[in-house]
Amino acid sequence: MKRLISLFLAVALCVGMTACSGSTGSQSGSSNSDGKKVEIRLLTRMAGTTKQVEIFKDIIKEFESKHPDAKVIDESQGDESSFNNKLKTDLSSGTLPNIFRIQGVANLGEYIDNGLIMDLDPVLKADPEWNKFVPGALSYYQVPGHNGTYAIPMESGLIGVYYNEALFKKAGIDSFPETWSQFKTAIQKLKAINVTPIALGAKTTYMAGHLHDQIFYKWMGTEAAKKLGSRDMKWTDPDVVKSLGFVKELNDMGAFPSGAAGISDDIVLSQFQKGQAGMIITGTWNISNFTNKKDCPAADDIKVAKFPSFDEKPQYKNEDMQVISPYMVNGKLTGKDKDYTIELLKMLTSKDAAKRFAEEASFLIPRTDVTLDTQKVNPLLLKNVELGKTSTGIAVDVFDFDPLASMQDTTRNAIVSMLVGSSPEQAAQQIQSEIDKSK
Amino acid sequence: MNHTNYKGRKALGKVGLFTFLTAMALMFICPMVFTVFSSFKDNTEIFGDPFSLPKTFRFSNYVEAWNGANMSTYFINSLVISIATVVILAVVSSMAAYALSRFNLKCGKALTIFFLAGMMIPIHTILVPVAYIIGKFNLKNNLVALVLIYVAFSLSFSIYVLARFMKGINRSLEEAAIIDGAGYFQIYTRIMLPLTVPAISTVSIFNFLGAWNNILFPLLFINDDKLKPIALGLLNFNGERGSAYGPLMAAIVITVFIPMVIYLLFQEKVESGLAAGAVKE
Repeated sequence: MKRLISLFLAVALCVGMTACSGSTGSQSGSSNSDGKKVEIRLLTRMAGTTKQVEIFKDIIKEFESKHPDAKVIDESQGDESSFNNKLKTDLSSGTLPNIFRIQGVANLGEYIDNGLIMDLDPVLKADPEWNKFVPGALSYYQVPGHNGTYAIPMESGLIGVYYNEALFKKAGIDSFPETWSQFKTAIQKLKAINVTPIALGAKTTYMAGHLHDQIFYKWMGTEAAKKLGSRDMKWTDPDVVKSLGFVKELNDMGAFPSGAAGISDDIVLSQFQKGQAGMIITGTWNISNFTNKKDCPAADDIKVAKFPSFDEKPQYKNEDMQVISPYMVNGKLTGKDKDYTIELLKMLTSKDAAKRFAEEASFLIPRTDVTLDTQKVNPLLLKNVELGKTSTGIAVDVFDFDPLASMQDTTRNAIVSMLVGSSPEQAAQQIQSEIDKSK
Repeated sequence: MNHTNYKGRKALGKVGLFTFLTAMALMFICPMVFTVFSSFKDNTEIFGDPFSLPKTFRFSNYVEAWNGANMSTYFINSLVISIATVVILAVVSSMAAYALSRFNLKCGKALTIFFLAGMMIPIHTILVPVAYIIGKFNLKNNLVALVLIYVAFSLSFSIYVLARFMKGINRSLEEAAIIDGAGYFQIYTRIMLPLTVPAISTVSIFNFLGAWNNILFPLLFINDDKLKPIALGLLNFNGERGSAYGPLMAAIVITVFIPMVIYLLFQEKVESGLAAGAVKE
C-alpha cells in the first residue's frame, strides 16, 4: 500500500511535469528547427477582427513567404491594458519587440537616450521611393531635443465631427455650424427635437479628452500643446482654463446624453448609428460603422465636418486634431534582424499597402503618392481626406507633448470630472498639481 | 402566546433570509444571463438593447468564437496548464502544510510568516523581475516555467489553508499510527492526506480557477500560437477601436463552461472544505 501511494504521488508529479514539457517539447523542437530563423516580434495595436487587421496579417504572410528564413511573431494587442502591460514589461526587462508603438512624443526622449528607439532618418533618406510620407505626419515624431525621426506614421486622419444631416434638417439647421456660437445654437435646436446633440460616452475617457483636444486647438492652436509640455505654459493659465470651460459649458447646456460620465463609447456609437444622436466626434476608423445600413439605419444621412472654430480666433480655424499612430523600431537591432525588420516596416507602410488599407478598410496611411480609386473608397473617407488637407497645424492629444506619461490619465480624468460637478478651475488645478508634484 | 410569537419571528426571519438570498442570486445571475444573451447578438443589438432577448439567435457567433479564439488548441493548453498546476500544488503544499502543522520546528513560526508573506505580494510589483528572469533564462514559450510561476504564486494560500486544516485533525490517530510503527511519510500519506481531502479539493478549485483564468503571465511569456491558453484567445476579439462583442461573449460562455462543470463536480467537497479551516477540536 505504502509503495502504491508513493508510486501514485510520483506518477502524479510526473504527469504534471510531462504534460507541460510535452507541449514545450514540441515548441522547443520547432525552435530548434527554427534555430536559424530570424525572429521578428511585433507589438502594435493591430489586433481584433477588423478588415485592417486582416490586411496587416496578409502583409506579414507575404513577408514570411518572401523570406522563409524569417518568422514573424505578432504579439499585437487590441485591448489597451493588455498592450500597456506587455509594453511596460518588455521595456523594463529589456525584451523590446522589433516593431512596437509608444503613445506620445515628448515622453520618448528617455527611450531615445537609452538607445531603445531607432532613428529612422537614415533609412528614410536611403529610400526616396518609400519616403513619401506626409511631411507633417512624419515630423510629428521628430522629438524635441533629439535629432532624427523616431517613428513611421502608420495611420492618420482627421478626427472630425460626424453628424446626421437628416436630424439637423429636422431641427432646422441648414448646414453644419462653422463657428462656436452657431454650434451652440445647433445644440439647442437638436435638444428641442429631443435628440441627444453630441454622442459622448465619457466612461471611456478618451471621448471627453478628444472633445477638449478639439476645443483646445481651435482656441489656442496646436503649438500651445507643445508649450504646455515644455512648461512654458501652465494648465492653470486663464486661456487653458477657458478651453476647459467650453467643455463644461457644453455639459451644462445638456449637449451630452444624461449620465454621460457613466456611458461607454460603444453605447453612444450605437445611439448615433440608430439616429438617436445628432453628432459624434470620432476618427476614420468608425467610417465602416457608419456605412453598413444593417447596423446603422442612419447610414445615408451621415456626413463629416471639421470641429467649429471660435469667432474670436480665426487664426486657429484649421488647427486640427488628427490621429497619427506610429511604428517604432527597436534601436538595438543589428545585422539581418535589422534588415528584415526594416523591410517588413516598409512593406507595412508602402504605397501598395496604403492603397489597400484605404480602399478596403477606410484606414489611412499618411502618404502623398497614393491615388485612391474614388469608386472603391467610401465617400466619408474621401471627405475626411479632403478636410484633412486644409489643416495648417495638426496634433493628436494635448498630452502627447508632455514628458509625463501619467498625463494621459490625469488630463482625461480631470476633464471627465467636469461632467460630474468639478469646475474648470478645479480640473485645471488637478492637472497642474500632478505636474508640480513631479518636479 | 410566546410560542406563536416565536413562530411568527421565525417565519419573518425566513422571509428576510429568502429575500436576501433571492436578491443575491439575481445579482450573481444577471451578468451570466447578460453574457449568454449577448453571445447570440451583434454589437448594435448588444449596445442598443443590452438586456433584451436576442431578436435572432446568431449561432454563428459560437462558430466564430471557436475558430477565432483558436479554441481547439487553446482549450487543451489551458487544461494541461491548469491540471499540472493543481497537481503540483496539491503535492507540494500538503507536504509543507504537514510539516508546519505537526512538527515542532525551531523556525516554525518564522516559516509560517514567510509563507504568509507570499500572499501579501501584489503580482504587479514583481512582474519586471519575473519577466527579466524569464528573458534571461530563455524561458519564453515554456509551459513548465508558466506552471511553476502559477505554483509559486498560489503556494502561500494553499499552504495556509491546508496547514490550518491539518491543525484541526485529531492527533490521536497519528499517535496510534506511531504505536503501530508508522514513519512520518506513512503518517502523511495514509492518515493526513486522506483526512485532508476536503481542504485539498478546496484549494485545488481555487488553484484551477487561478490558472485557468490567468491572463497576465501567458500574455507576457507565451507568444507561440501553439502554446497559448484560452484566456489569451479571448483577447483575439478585442480591437484597438471596437471589439466583436458577440463572438467574444460566445467565447466567454464556452470558456466558463469547464470551470463551472468542475465546480459542480466538486461542490460538496469545496463547501465542506471552506468551513473546515475554521473548526478546531
